[in-house]
Amino acid sequence: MKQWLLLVCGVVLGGWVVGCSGQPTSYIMIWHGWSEAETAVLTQSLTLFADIHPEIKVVAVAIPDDALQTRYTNAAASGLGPDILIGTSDWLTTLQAANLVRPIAEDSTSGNIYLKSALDALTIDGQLYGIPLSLQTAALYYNTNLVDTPPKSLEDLLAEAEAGKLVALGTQFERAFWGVQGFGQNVFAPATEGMEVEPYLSLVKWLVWLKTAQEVPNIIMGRDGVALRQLFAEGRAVYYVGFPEDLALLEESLGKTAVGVAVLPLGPDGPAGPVLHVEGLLFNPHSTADQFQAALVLGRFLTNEEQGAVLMRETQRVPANRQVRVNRQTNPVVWGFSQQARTAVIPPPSPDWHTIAAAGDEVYTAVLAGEMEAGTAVCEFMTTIQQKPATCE
Amino acid sequence: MTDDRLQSLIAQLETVLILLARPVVQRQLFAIALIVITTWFLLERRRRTAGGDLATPGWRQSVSLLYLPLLYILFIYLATAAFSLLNWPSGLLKDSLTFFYILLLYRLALFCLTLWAGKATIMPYQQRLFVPLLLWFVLQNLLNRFINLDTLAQIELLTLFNVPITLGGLLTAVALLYLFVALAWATQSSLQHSLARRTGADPGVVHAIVTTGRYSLIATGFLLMLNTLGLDLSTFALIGGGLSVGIGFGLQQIVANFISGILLLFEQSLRPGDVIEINDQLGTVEKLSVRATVVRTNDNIEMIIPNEQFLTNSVTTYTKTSRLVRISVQLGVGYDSDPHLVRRVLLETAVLHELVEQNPAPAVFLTAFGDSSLNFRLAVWTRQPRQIPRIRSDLFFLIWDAFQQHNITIPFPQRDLNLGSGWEPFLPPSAE
Repeated sequence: MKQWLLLVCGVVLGGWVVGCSGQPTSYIMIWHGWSEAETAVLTQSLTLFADIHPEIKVVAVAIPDDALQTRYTNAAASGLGPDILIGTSDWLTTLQAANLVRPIAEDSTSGNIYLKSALDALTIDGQLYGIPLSLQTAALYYNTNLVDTPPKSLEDLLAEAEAGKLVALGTQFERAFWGVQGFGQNVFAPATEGMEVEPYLSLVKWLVWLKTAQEVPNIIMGRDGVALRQLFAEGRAVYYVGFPEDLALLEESLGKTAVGVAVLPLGPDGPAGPVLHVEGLLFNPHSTADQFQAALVLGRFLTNEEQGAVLMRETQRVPANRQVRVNRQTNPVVWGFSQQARTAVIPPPSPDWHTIAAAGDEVYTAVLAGEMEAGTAVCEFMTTIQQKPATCE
Repeated sequence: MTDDRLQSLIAQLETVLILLARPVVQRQLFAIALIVITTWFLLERRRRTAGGDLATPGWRQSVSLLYLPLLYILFIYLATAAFSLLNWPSGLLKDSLTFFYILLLYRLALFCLTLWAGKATIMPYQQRLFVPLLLWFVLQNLLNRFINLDTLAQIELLTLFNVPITLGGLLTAVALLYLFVALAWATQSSLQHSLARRTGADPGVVHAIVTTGRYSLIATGFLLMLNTLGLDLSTFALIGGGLSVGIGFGLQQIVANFISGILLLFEQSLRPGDVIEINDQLGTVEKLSVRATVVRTNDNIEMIIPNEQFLTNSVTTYTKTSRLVRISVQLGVGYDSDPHLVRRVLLETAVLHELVEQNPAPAVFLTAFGDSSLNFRLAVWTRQPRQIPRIRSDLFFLIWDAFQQHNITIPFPQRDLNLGSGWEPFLPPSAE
C-alpha cells in the first residue's frame, strides 16, 4: 500500500507545483529520437510554440532512436506514451495493426500543403495516420573535389568507374533498391492489367545489372554500409549511394563544400526510384480529446512553412511541406535529396517494411553471390510482397 | 536548485499528469487499486475469522504468505480478460501481473526459508534485506512506466569537490551502501552461527573473523558509493592528509578506541562470553565492536566501555585461559570448638554446593589464632566465575546451618572493662 500512497502524494505534489508554475490548460508530450543538435532545434521551435500557444504546455522527451519504436509500442499498449511520436512511415503498419496510432482527418492537417507522396506514405486503406514532417530517401553522394558533375545514367556510372573513379554501392536491399524503377516499373506499385509481369522483370533486370557491375574493377559492392561510407569519407570513393543520416559524418570528414548530393543515375527505362521513408508526427490513440486537439495544433505548427524551413536549414531535412522552397544555391544537399524524393517509391503498407527488407536482402545476397538465378529469387520475393503467387512469366 | 533543474523536475511531474489525465490509464489504475484493496480486505476478514494468522502455527502460517500474491494474480487475470472483452488497453494490468508474480516468487522463497530456518530467523533478513530490495525493484519499474527515470536521474543536486552529484547517482550510491551494510549484517549474522557450529572453532575467533569481514564489506560499500558518485578517492587522500592533525587532536579518543577495538579483536585478549571484572564490577562480555565493548553485569546492566580502557587499565578476567576460578571464604570459630571437626564440617559442606567443583577439591586452611577466634579459610573451585557472589553467599548459609548442627560457635570480639576507683558515688544503692 505504501508505494501507492507515495505515488498519490507525488501526484498531488506534482499538481501543486505545476499549478503554481503557469497557466497552460493542456499538457502534451512528444517523443523523438533526434540527435543532440537536432533536439536543440526542436527545443527552439517548441519555445516559439509556447510563446504563440501559452495554453499548451509541451513536454519533449528524447529517446534513443533505436529504442524509440519499441518503447512507444510498449508504453502505448498500456495507455501510456506520448501524445505525439516523431516516427517513420515504416512503423505505421505495425502500429496501425496494434491500434497504437490514431487516424486523423486529412482536413484537420491542412492536407493540401503536404506533398502527396508524403501523405500517401502515412496512409493505410485510405486513412491518414500522421502529419508528414520530412522525406528520407537514398541519393547519390559525390565528392565535389574530385568530380564536377555526377553521372546522369547507369551507363555513365559504369563508364566513369571504368575510367578509374571509385564507386561505393551497398548491396543491402534498401541501399540497392533504387535502380529497379529505371528498368521499367516500381515493384511496389499495384500491377496494371496485362502488365503483371513488368515489376518482376524490372527487378530481374536490375539484379542482372548489379551482378554485371560488381565485375567492374572500380565498383566496390558490399553489405557493409559503414565500410563503404568510410571509403567515401576518406576521399577514396568518388560516388557513394547513401542516406541523409550519413551527411553529418561525411561533411565532418570531407568538409561541407566537398559533399555533393545528386539524384541517382537513370536506368534505360526511367528515373531511379529509391525507397521513400516519411518522417511523420504520429498520434497516440489513448490521448484525451483535449490532448489530441493540442497535439494537432503542435503538429500543424511543426510542419508549417516557417518551421519546415527552419528544420531544413538547421537539420538538413527535406520538408514534406511543399510550400517550403528548397533553394539549390543555399541548400544544395537538401535540394539533391528533395529531387530524388520526387521519383522515390513508397513501399506498400502490407507486409510491413521490415518483412519486405528481410526478404529483399535474401534475394540480393543469393543472386549476387551466384547462389540463385535472378528469375527464381525475384519470383519468390514478389510472392512475399504481393502475398499471393506472383506472375513471373 | 537552479531553474533548469526545477524545470526538469516539473517536466517529469507534468508527464505524470499527462498520463493520469487519460481515461485508459485511470481505468487500469482504478482496477489495480480495487484489486489490491479487495484482496487485502478479503484476507483481513479471513485472518479475523481464523483468529489471526499469527496464532496459526507451523506450515499453515507459512502457506498463508502465498494467499496474497495468488489472489492478486487471479484478480488481475480476471480484470485483464474483462478489459480485453471491452477492447480496453490493459498493458498496465499486465505489467502489474509481473510485479505480483515477483511477489509470489518472493513469498514462495520466504515460505521455504521460513520452513527451513524458522520465522524468527528469517524475519530480520526479510525486514533488512529482502523487503528493501523488492521495494527498490518495484518502485523503479513502476516509476519508469510513468516518467523518464533517466532524465530524472540526471538532475544535478549539488557539486562536491568539483564533481556534479546527480539525483540518480546519489540514490544509487545510498542504495549501494545500504545493500552492503545489509549484506554485512546478514553475513555476520549467518556466519556467526554456522561457522561456530560447523567448524567447532572458538567463538572468539569466529567473532573476530566475522566482525573484520563485516567492517571490510562496509568499507567496500563506502568506497563503491564514492566511486558511484564519481568522487576521486585521491581527493579524499589529500583531505585526509590535511585533516590528520585535526583528527589527531579532535578525534583522538574515537581513533584510540577504534584502534584498541581492532587490537582487541586480533589479540583475542577479550572475547564475547568472557567473565571480567572492571571498575569493581563483575560482568560478562556481550559484544566486542570496534569502538566499545558491551559488558553485562550481574545486575543485568549493560555497560558500554570504550575499548581503550581495556588496553590502558588492568582488567581482571576469569576466563582468559581457563574458566576455573577459586573462591575463598574467611570465617572464625570459638576456641572451644574442635578445629578438626570444623575442618571436616567445612569440607563436607562445601561439596554440597552444585557449582563447587569436586576436582580440584575444596580445601580448608587454619589461617590464624585470632584474638577471640580460630580463623579459617575455605577455598573452593568453580567454573562459573559469574556466580562467585552467589556461591560465596550460599556457602555462608550452608556453613551457618552446619555449625548450628554441630554446636560450633562463631564468636564475636569480647572486651573486659576494669573500672578504677572514684566511680562509687555513681553506682546504684543496691550495689553498695
